[in-house]
Amino acid sequence: MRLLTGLLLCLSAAASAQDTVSAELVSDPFVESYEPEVSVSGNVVVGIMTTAAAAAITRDQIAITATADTGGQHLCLKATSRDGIYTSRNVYALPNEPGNVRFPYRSKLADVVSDYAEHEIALSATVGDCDSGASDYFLLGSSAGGAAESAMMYLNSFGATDVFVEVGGEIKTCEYISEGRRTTFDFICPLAISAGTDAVPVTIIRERFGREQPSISLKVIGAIQ
Amino acid sequence: MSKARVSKWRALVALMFAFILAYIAFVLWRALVPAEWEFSIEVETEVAEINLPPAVRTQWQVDGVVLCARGTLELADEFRVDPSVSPCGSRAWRAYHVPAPEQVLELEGDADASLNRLPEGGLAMSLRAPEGTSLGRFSVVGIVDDVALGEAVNLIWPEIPAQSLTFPFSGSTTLGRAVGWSNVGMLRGGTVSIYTADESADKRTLVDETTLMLGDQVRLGDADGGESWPKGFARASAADDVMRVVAFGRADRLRIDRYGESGYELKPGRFRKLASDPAVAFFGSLLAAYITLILAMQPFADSRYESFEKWIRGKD
Repeated sequence: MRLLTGLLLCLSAAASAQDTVSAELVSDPFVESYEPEVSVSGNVVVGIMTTAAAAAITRDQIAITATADTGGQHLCLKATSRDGIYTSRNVYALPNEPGNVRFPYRSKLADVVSDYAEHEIALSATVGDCDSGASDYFLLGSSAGGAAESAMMYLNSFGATDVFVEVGGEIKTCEYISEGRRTTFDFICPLAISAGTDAVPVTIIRERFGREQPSISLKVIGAIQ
Repeated sequence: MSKARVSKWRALVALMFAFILAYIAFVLWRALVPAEWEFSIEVETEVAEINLPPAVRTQWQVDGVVLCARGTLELADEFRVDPSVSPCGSRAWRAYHVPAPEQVLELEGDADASLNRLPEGGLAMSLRAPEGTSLGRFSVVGIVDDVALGEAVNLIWPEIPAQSLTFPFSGSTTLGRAVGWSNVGMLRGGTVSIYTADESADKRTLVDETTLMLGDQVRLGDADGGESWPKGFARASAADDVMRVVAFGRADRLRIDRYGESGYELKPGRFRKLASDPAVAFFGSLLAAYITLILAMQPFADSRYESFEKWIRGKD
């Protein structure tokens, strides 16, 4: 019985690996930097990813679930460390067919990236080129999967004292990061997105000592199965 | 069989070499073993964060405050601030102000406090406890008895009272904020002094001192501080546009994040560590005295001082 279960698991994993196709890296050379002199971008949203995606960056397993209407489009993948010292932004071309897509991460600074612990590096993937200013984000995960994954959103609050995230009418409180250097993001929000859902509207609500800051609306597309 | 006689002189000289070797081993051990230092920080800053540990009660006098609570507090309606003039922000927050002295905030612990000097001259503090818990109580002597607070409270002073505001604390603290263009406040400057962590405070000696620059971020205390949390106080007065914060606590190093650098850990070097080690100095002095004694005795242990030579060299 155990042998049969193991065989089925192996076949399932092999099938899953076969289902995942690789996106084409358009940026040449791979764009990344390790600069102590940090320049912070103007984005509130720094990362939207599953917990498995943090480990996926060093294992070259970063992946999304592409939808039918994003087939063939470009995608901008950004990685940002919490201290702002490591950043990368590269453009990939998605395959025409929907499904699981892996992004080859051709980093020459793999040792630097691997030094960052979980929750110290955020990944985001937006539809279009990196300067398009898109507000549609893909939920990044790992091509290795993981049934019990949970999604997180990494935010630069711009001095807010409270941050909330609203998904499907449900408001959740984001957690403030109180330790370490928080140059690029300082809040982590739980994101209640179930696997397989498409284009979920998300609203980020920020307050600074009770005063509401401009809210941010975006869409999060897909999930790793 | 004749009993072998050991020369006293040889024994004393051998003992000296043994002491030297033992002292070298002791010094190496003291150099390698992690040391704790007493860090004292005094800064002027626009922002400070304090993580109050669980089960550590904190009391602050908060005269002149506008208390902003998410939800309703059990305070009389006469203390409600009209929403049209409330500094508390959105309608989710209710503002209360008691125009009386001796207002006390008693925090139960396990809370995060963020203090910000406001550009217009006041002070704002956010207090957050874990979801579903209470921060503590608010009271005004003779007027308001122990009103329970929720998990989120903002304290706003549009103007700092004439008698200043002082917030003593016990917990880990982050002073300043790593520089980024989106930051709303930063550390203006200050000093960090490192003392030997001697049990008796009057015997501690200054080991090192460093100056903090505009924009530095310094953190004292870890999330798991055990029983010895850093202590200190923050003080805001109407005369200054910054807060003055003094904090001190034991640690083996102190983290300083500075713009343009990837951050560094401040701790005394090995030689400074040894130079300030009282045990190394004490045993070193004893060894030096012993070597001096042996060297002083050496001229007398020859044939000119026959009787002494016989006694010390064990000659018949």
